[in-house]
Amino acid sequence: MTEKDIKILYVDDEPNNLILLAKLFRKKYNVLQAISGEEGMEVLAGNPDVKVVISDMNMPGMNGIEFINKAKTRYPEIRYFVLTGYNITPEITFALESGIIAKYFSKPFDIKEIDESINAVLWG
Amino acid sequence: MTEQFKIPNALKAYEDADFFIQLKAKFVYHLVVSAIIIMGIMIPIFAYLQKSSPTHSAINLQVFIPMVAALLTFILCYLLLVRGYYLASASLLLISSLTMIWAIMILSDDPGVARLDTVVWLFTILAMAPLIIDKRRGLSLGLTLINVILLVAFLFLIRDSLHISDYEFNDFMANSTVALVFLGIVSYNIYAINKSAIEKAEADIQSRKKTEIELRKSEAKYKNLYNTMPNGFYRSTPEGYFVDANPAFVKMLGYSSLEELKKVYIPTELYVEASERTEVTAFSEFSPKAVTYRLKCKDGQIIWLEENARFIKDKNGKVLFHEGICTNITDRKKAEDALQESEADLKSIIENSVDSIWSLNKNYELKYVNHVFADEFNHVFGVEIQKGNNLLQALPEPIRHIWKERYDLVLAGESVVFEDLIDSGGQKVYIEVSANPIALNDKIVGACFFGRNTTNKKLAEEELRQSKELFKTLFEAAPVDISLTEENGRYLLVNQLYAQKLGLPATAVIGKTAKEAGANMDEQSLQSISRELAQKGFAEGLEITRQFNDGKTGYYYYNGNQITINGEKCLLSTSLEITEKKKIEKELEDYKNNLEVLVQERTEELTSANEELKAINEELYDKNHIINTQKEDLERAIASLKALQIKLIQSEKMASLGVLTAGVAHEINNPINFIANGTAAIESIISEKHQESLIELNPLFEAINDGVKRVTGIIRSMSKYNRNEALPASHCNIHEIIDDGLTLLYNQYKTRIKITKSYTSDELVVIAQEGQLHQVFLNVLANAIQAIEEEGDIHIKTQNLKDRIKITITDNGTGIAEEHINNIFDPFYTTKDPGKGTGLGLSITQRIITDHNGTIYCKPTLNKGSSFVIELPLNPEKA
Repeated sequence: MTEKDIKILYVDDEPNNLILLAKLFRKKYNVLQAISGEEGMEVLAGNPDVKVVISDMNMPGMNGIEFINKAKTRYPEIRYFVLTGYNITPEITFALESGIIAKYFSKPFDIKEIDESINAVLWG
Repeated sequence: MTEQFKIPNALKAYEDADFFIQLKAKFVYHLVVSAIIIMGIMIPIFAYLQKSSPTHSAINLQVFIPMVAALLTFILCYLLLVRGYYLASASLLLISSLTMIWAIMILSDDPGVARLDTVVWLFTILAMAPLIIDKRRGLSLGLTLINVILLVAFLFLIRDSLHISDYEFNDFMANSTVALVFLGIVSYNIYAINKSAIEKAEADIQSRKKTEIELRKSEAKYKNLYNTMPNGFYRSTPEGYFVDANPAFVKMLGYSSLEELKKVYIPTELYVEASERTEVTAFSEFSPKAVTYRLKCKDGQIIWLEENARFIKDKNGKVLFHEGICTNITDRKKAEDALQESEADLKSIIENSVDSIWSLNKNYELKYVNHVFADEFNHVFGVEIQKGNNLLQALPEPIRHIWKERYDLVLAGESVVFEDLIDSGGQKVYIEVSANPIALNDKIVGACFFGRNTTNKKLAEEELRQSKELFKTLFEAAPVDISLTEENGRYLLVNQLYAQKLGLPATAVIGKTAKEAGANMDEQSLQSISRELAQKGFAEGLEITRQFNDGKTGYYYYNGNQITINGEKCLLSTSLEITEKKKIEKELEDYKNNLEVLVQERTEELTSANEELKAINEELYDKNHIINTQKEDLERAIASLKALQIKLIQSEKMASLGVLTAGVAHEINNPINFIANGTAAIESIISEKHQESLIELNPLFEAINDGVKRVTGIIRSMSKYNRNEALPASHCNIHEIIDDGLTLLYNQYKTRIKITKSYTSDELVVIAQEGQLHQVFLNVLANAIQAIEEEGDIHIKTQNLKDRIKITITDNGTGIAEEHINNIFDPFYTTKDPGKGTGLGLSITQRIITDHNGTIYCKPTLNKGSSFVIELPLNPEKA
């Protein structure tokens, strides 16, 4: 299994961000995209072999943590990350401490940091 | 023996003689009487015959005389007999008879056989002997023998005159002697047999006579007893009628005679209840059987009888009669019932008593003990006692001999009451025991005890005593006059204080009225007291005046309470002397009055002063222009204040900027992200597809990335700086925070101040509120920058001191003056010109540091400038 076969899901309400991340990881992973938490759930339903989920925090409707909490109950094997433009909030801290998310990234995100973190959760 | 043996009247002398004699006497009597009669007849006949006989013309004296002699002898015998001389009479009869026969035989001159045939008379007489002689049995043998010898002798003497053959003679002699001897033997035996038989009969008769006498005696005794005994005796039939009853029984039932009683039908007329008769008449194997029952007397009264009843049966076992001896136990029953009742009463009293009751006999054994005593004894000594136990032995050793002494004292006849304290198992129990001897017929047979647990009483007494003492102390120690008066106003009790005021000993005051004792109250006070008492029943806080014997008037605060003691109404009065207070009040009053006067005076002074001021005022008008000048100065001041206001507004704006930046930061983040990652994507595509252009484009990419980085840095700093909300503490990297602060302040120092850092190689991470720490370092750094007017250096040093971290920020700016160095952390303290700072920075900084259990201080520096030291604990237990 090559790296390219590994699916990761990126959820963000900003389409530019979705394009950017997908572009940046075009060689490495199969980046699935969703514009909202709800769509993210649909994607996961259709792609149960997704290994990693990265979600933006501030979205209209379901926010990142809410989406991740929902997804985590159904897909506990997936590793989740949160991406936020704001500072760390209690919600994120709690999610981090209770292991719901592996890490959080601040915007603007550093692609290298994200890459290292994904490696770390996939390959230990 | 049915025939009664009668003695002829003539033989009355032998009435009491034994039967044998009586019989014999009777025989002899008949014999003698017959003989006399016969002789009386024969002699005349013989005489006649003799006279008329041809051969003899005269009376044959030889025969006649003896016959007459015999007659006389018989008469003599008779006389002797009737006079009681039986033996004499009988003996005389025998001997005279025999003598007569012999006389006839010897004197007779009849020929041969006619003479001999008289011998038969010997036989006759001798045959009679046993009937006559008494006791001397040998007499008949003796008589026989004598007669035999006489006969033999006689026969031989007259042998020749008989003119009979030898053979006839011998035959006759032999026959007659043998016959005589035989007769003798026989008559002896007859006598013996008769005697025995008669003696036996005699004995029987005697004994029967004796028995009869005894019987008669006993009959008499029995009859006497029967008639006189107090117990009732009766005999009745099963059909229910009396056949016999003794006088006592008749009387018991109230009847007048046995005949009357015999008419009574027992089952209905006598028995109270049929069931009782059934019980009494029920046959019992035990005879006699004891029964108790009631009967109705003739007059209707009911009596109780106790009877030993017997049944008299015939040989078939059928009951013929009921018989019994009865005792009237009515009184006894009443007494028994009364006794039972009284016993029941007594028992109830004793058992239901709340006190202990027990009694002992002379051997200290319990005769009676009620349950209260038994329980108490068990409770105190742990021993169970009951009737019969030796109480002394049940007591433990140390107490035993004390109680023995007491028991002995009471048993000797003394009534005592003693109190005792018994300590058992740590529990103290007081008891009071009343002991009294029990006497029966003037002899002491025991002692009875009544005990009471007086522990409560004793405790109550002790409490009372203590309470009394307390009262007494209070009474005497109180700083008020206390007195108790009767309704008539006489003192019952006063305390020392009051007595002293009266100038009398307390005892002397009792019984006197107030006036007599020397306490005089003014009329108004008296009236107000009586009014209060009448209205409310008590007087509280009345101010009264009183005068004692020394004449001095005193003011008092009076309290009076009407109380009842032993049914008597009394007044308890307490008075607190307030003379001093009153005096002071008065003085105060005076001062007050004085004051008004003073005020009045002062007002007058002020009025005159006012006049002066008015004059001065006019002078002031001349100095107007000076004021104007000052006014301009003031206006200028106002202007600068306004500027300051603006600056403040700016600061506020800065503060609100924080709020904005939070929002701005986020808004910028996304666009920055686009730029940054867009550029990264371009970079990656170029390096993939247009590598030849990469060299030319690289510096441009670097410039973009750098710009992005800087923007990101600023945004991050600003957002960190404005985190004021109460967030949970997070890990704060001190070096990062300091750097962020420097970034924000870069513009202010970039050209003129050199920043040097001596960071420790350790990562300094503290758990704190990031926003607040940002504020702290920003503030301190800003101060350092502002302290340097032109050019200078700022040195930042960080140290890891294991339990805490130390950050030192040193500048070579204007420094802080000695006199201000302690004020720098004061709120609103600032050395800056107005408008150039609020003066709150360091105070807030200090607060934040102390909130984090750290310290901040200003280290004095030798050269000019300042050095601020911040220490924060690394201990995770921070507020």
